[in-house]
Amino acid sequence: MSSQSFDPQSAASSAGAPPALPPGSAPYVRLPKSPGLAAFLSLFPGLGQVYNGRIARAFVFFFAWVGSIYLTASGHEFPFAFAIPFVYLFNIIDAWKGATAANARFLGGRSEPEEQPEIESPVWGGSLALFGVVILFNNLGWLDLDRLARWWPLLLIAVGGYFVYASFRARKAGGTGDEPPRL
Amino acid sequence: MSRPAFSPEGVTFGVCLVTLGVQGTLANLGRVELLPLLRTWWPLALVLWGALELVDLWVRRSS
Amino acid sequence: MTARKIALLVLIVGFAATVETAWHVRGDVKIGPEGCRVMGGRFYGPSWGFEAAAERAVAGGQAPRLEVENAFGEVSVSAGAPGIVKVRLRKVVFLPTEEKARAFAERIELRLTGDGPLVRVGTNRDEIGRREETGFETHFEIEAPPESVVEIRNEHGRVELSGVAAADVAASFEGVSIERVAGDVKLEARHGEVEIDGVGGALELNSRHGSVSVSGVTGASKLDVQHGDLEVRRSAGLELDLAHGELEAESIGGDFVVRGQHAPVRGFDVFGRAHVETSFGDVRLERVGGELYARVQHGGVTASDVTGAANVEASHGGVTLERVAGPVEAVVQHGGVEARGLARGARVRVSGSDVTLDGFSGPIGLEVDRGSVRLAPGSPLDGEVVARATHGDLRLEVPEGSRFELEAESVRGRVDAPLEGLTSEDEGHKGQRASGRHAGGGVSVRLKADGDVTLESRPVRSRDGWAVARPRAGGKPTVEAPAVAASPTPKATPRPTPTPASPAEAPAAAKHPPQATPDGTSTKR
Repeated sequence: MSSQSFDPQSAASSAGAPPALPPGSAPYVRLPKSPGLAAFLSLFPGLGQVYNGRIARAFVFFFAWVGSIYLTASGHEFPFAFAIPFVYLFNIIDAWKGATAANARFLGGRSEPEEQPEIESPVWGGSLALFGVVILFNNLGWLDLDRLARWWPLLLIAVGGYFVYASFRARKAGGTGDEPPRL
Repeated sequence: MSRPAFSPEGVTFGVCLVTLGVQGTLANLGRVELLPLLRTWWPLALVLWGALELVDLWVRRSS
Repeated sequence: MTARKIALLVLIVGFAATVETAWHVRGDVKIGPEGCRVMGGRFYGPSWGFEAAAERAVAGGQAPRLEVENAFGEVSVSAGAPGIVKVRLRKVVFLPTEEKARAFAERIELRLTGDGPLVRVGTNRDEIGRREETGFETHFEIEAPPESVVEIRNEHGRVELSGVAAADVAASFEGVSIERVAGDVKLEARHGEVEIDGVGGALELNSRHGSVSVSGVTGASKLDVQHGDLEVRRSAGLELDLAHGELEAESIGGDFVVRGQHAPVRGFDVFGRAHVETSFGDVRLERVGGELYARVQHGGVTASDVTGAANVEASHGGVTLERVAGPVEAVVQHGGVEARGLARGARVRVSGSDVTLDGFSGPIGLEVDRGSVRLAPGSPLDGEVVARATHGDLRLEVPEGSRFELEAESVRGRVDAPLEGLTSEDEGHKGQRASGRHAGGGVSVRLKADGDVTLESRPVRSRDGWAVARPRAGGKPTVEAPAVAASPTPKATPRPTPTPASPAEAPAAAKHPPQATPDGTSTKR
């Protein structure tokens, strides 16, 4: 951890609302996370997230980056060549923001967030089972994955359509409509 | 929703280990060829896990 | 998504990847079911050998034409009795048991077809290979009449050819050996060593990823070699495109033309002219019977005993010339020039290093940037000498008996010219000058340098040792001519459509049923 000075004025201006100072606190507080260090560690994808204590995100960023490189090198330059720099930079920015958010929570007197709650949607389980069934059928010769693979952009259409549908449904129910629908 | 009835990951991991142990034993006894068997049927682990996740979700919603 | 779920997903996917990898390398690490494994284009595993043979008479009067098509096996063609083509096929089948291997081998047919002087040799490999996953090799040993024109197409197998009239060969992997061909040879080789010895006609060679050795070519050689070293000995003439490999050539009876990239070149005893262009490698030529042209990027040039003129360009490397009978032109960037025994003068432009011309005759034109100059004529000056050196000194050793008119200037140094008839002047900040007529005047000598300019007298040296040596004949390559005149160079023909063996051939095949020759539990090469 790094030692950073705490200035209530700048914290108030950067966080938007003045955080409640713990009573009797000294003007200079040692913040738990260093955004700069988190970003620096993220030069190796995932390490910044590990520093921030977000292990699942670390896994996701690392394998997304490695997977993009592998798929690009395997001849699928489009679209995975674009994913490599995007994932890499996103990982650095996410580590910075994660550390900043941790510091803001600390200043607000809250502890680190727990792991995200259990997934409440059937999509996760359904996707796992469907993925397993498709590969199993390919292994048994009942399905030709190579021929099926050319239809992958339909996935994008399906996901995009779901987002559009969910946005309209949220708006009807009185939601802001600006937040992305959560899976 | 109530707490989960069981851990889908735990059950999947356990079942996979048991299955691997059974297949390995049979292979050592010369009854099966381990490698072709694993190469064909490993996606069942994903199918099992996905099914358990759905079951867990249904149990929690109905309880 | 929780870390637990991510970890389990990674575990399952990683396990699947491990299983898939183990499946693909199961042959090497001896896991999983046995059978044929392929790695690097070769089969591994238990194998069994079986043989078949056939022969075909060839009508007289015309030179026989032999076409061989094969894959995954060796093809060996040698000179045999006139008028007959004998074929022996060895089938190697990669299956765990002899019974299974024998049953599979009986499906491999030796096909000997064609009519008149044309003989086609092959198998039904394509038809079997499409339906089967069993690996098998087919090795041919063929004896053909010495006057035969041979065409071979072999993938993943060695080719050996000797004692025929002409050859057209395309082969990949395992290498090619061609010997004693009376006429022309055309060869395309990939991923294998090439050895050619004794070609009575011209040689045309295209090779990738393999070293090449050529010797005894009576006609001209035209070679295209990449990613492999090349050695050529005794060829009538050599024209070569070379990349990423070294060349050593000796005894070239005609012109020596090299277009290279990343290719050092060494040539000895070139009877014709030498024209060499290359990069990232030095050029070394000795005993060139004609003119020399050498252009090297990122490399130096060393040439000696050049009978004709020499035109040399080099960068990031120096030029060294010895005993050049003709006029010399040299342009060198980031390198210097050292020359001895230039018989007809030189025009030299150099940047980045010094120039030394020792034992020269004839006119000299010299421009040196950031370097010094030393000029030592071998005999009394007999040609104009113009030399300029920036950021360096200039020294001229004047042999006794020289007669010249001097204009010498030093911009920032001294002019030292203690010879009879020459006078020096100090112009202060403009430098020093010297001028005058030595021994009554004669050829013009104009010297200018930023540093010191020095003239000194010395005795005339003996010309012994400056004679240009001629190329040495390494023995003219000879190849025995066939009994019957060879037909012209074979042209590439389309792949033949397999036809069933004629009834006359079936009994021959039946005479030699497959014989099992167990090759042991593993046939590893």
